[in-house]
Amino acid sequence: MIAGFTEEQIRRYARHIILPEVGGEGQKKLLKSKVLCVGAGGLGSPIIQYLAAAGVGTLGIIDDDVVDLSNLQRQTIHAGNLGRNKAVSAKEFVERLNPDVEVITYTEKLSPDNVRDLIKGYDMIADGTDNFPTRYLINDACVLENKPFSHGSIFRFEGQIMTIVPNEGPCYRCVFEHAPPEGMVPSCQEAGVFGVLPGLVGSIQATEIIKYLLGIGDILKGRMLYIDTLNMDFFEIKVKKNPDCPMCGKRVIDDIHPENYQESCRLW
Amino acid sequence: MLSLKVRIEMLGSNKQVWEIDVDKGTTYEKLLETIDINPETVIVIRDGFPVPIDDLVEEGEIKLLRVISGG
Repeated sequence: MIAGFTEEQIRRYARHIILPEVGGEGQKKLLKSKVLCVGAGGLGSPIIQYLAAAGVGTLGIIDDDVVDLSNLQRQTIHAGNLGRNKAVSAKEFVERLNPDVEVITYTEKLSPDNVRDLIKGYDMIADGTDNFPTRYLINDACVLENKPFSHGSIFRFEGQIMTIVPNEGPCYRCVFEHAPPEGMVPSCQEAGVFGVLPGLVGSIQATEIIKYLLGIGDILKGRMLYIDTLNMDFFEIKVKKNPDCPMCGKRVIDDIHPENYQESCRLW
Repeated sequence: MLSLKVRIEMLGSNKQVWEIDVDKGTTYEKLLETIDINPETVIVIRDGFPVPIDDLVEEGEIKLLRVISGG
């Protein structure tokens, strides 16, 4: 038996353990890691599924929404749980998949009041949200708390993924300083979303998180991956730290102020 | 006035492309207004890097990356 693993764990993680890039030590790192997944919807579902399967030891899941029939076209972990809170539903899925994973559920909304305290207890954050204010909130809080996070967003057939490591690479505001004016960009509810798309984008986010936790390979730090699934076109955008970025360039704010997370999330 | 040839491609499903001539000294912000795109809804990509919209247009190709928030 490999020291520190049960017989069941050796069988469960065998395909990881035999990979030289992971091995027993890497698997132990994953089992000791803590990841907070913000949102258990389209992106959150595959992120949670693959982090749990990989044996990430603690998964925080925050979502105040409930499972609707229209979600099941893409949010496969919630099968059979219509009307239940998504964080609670996701916890049930993880418990069935991998008993090694401790799941902490938060059934409230991520807000300027709770974000810094919440992310402090985790090694990495997964952004699986569906709106601009929460995206900017996660970015700014992660920069302030020096927490890495995986950004993913989707629209119709398109997706964007980037890994943000504060102080080392550019942040979300280095690319998108503030959100477009309210109403200028339609949501998935308004414009539709190709059901398999969040599975692809969320799986890439989970890949990035696991690689970061293991310290292997090249992550999407300073690179944004753009995917167009209709034409199966992948495009990489190189991103540098923006000296005018209000978070990691000019550093105009030193705390989370609720007035900065409404509509365009512009920092004045 | 000297004019520059610019090819503009919107990244995404419907692959919109514009090929236009603009006066030297035009900013990307003005260029986007010419093709009726709100500069706050896209990022201009030149040679793989985002460029500020107040930069002056250079001859060649740019791509536009939509700002999206779905999840």
